[in-house]
Amino acid sequence: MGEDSALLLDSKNAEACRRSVELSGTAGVEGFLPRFGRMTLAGMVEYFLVSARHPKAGQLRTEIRRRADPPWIAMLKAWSGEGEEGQPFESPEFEFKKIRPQNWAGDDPGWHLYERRFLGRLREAGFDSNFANGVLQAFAEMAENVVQHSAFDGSGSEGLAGYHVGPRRFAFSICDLGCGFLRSLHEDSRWAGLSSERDAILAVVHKAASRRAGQGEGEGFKQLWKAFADHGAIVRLRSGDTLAAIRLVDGRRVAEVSSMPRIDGAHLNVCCTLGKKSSEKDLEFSLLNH
Amino acid sequence: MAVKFETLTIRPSRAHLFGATAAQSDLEALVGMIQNQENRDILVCFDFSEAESISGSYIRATLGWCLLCGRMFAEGGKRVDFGDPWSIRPLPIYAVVTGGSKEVLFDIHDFLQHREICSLLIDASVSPPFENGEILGKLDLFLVDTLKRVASLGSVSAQDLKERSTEVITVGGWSNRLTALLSHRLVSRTRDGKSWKYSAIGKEFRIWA
Repeated sequence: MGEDSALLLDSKNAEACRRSVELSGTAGVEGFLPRFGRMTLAGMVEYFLVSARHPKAGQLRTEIRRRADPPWIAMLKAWSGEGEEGQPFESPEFEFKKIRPQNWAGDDPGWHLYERRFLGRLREAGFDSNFANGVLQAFAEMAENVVQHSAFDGSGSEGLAGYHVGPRRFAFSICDLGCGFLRSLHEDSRWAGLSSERDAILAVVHKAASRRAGQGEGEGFKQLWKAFADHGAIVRLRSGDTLAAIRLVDGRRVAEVSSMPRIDGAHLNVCCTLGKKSSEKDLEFSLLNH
Repeated sequence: MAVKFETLTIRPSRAHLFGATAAQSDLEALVGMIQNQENRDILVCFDFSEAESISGSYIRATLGWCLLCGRMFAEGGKRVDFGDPWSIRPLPIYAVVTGGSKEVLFDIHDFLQHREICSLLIDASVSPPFENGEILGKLDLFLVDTLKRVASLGSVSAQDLKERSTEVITVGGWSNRLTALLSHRLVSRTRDGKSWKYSAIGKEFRIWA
């Protein structure tokens, strides 16, 4: 591996990675991805999301799997449903799971076990039970949002969940290939006036906007803010052409919004490191041995 | 004459109640009941005896949904979104709560209070009028007072309340209070000639604390 192998694939350069692939087809995967010796959970999931609708998405996934990096394989296996009933790809640190609206309803034993493992790893990593339980509830609520709100016709679209836990730190991601925040909120006349993804994300963050007409504020994100109220976490929301990085400061939510190339779907990522202001780069997958 | 209710008890057998999808699944029996008995008043009792924790999204999709559908029915509202089976629509539903740990009840109370709606916590799931009802959520103190008057008098009209009161409140004022209580699903009403007679769904009320 050359000097480039230390490059980090994170949520900010995932889009550049996809563009490179788009320009050079599968050669782009082989030529571009191997340069990244490290990656974050958010970077991987973001890359998955931005390339999911690529005309050669299937071929690209095959190429990625040839790299044999455990996190990539785990993510792609989860998405393709491999090991769904039998032996899921497991690691002490990370695991991915597909979100399937058709067998959600809170009684999917596979999902339940997946959550239990996440909870167990949070506790092992040094997070107290109360906080870990709050994180798990927030995680479940965000996954549920995929089922409840991601498809424009209300039937739900498929999504992907992943977590990565290290000593005193963790990250989780939830993404879907659905309609995004703006189109979803347009289902409620109260939010029909929103004209951009930026406004839609900020309405969710600051006004608890929800697509269900006449039912008041959404509750899922409240759980998220409550769980992370004073833990220095950073929450990233990506939908359409907007990325918002939200920090919780003294009970307030401070959102830093930036423009991105447009994507289908949405991605939520949370990073949390105990005792410090969290950063996506606090927890990385190191692939330098490959 | 008080309204006769069809009653339905929903008792989720899980310790942790969260998520709208699970909530909607728990309401399946109610959906069936609504389809079969569209014009009958239905009293749904949510028995949270086995619950150790409950999330806002679960409360919103169960108790909250029932209360808002009931309110829309009481206020003569029209359903707008026909595409979503879980949109708010006018349904003759009343919803009460029984069981539940202090934490669960606090979360319900907090949820209802924030949305300025209320429900009744009862001792056991039996038919109304319930012996003791504790008001969860937010209810204007004037309405609490009116509710207690209705409960003590049985079946009353706005005119009855006006005649029995020494306060300077018009019949219209009493009528407004009664219709507000109907919207909160704490009283039922039946036609009595040209006026409405209201009956409380409980015999005694106090604010939950």
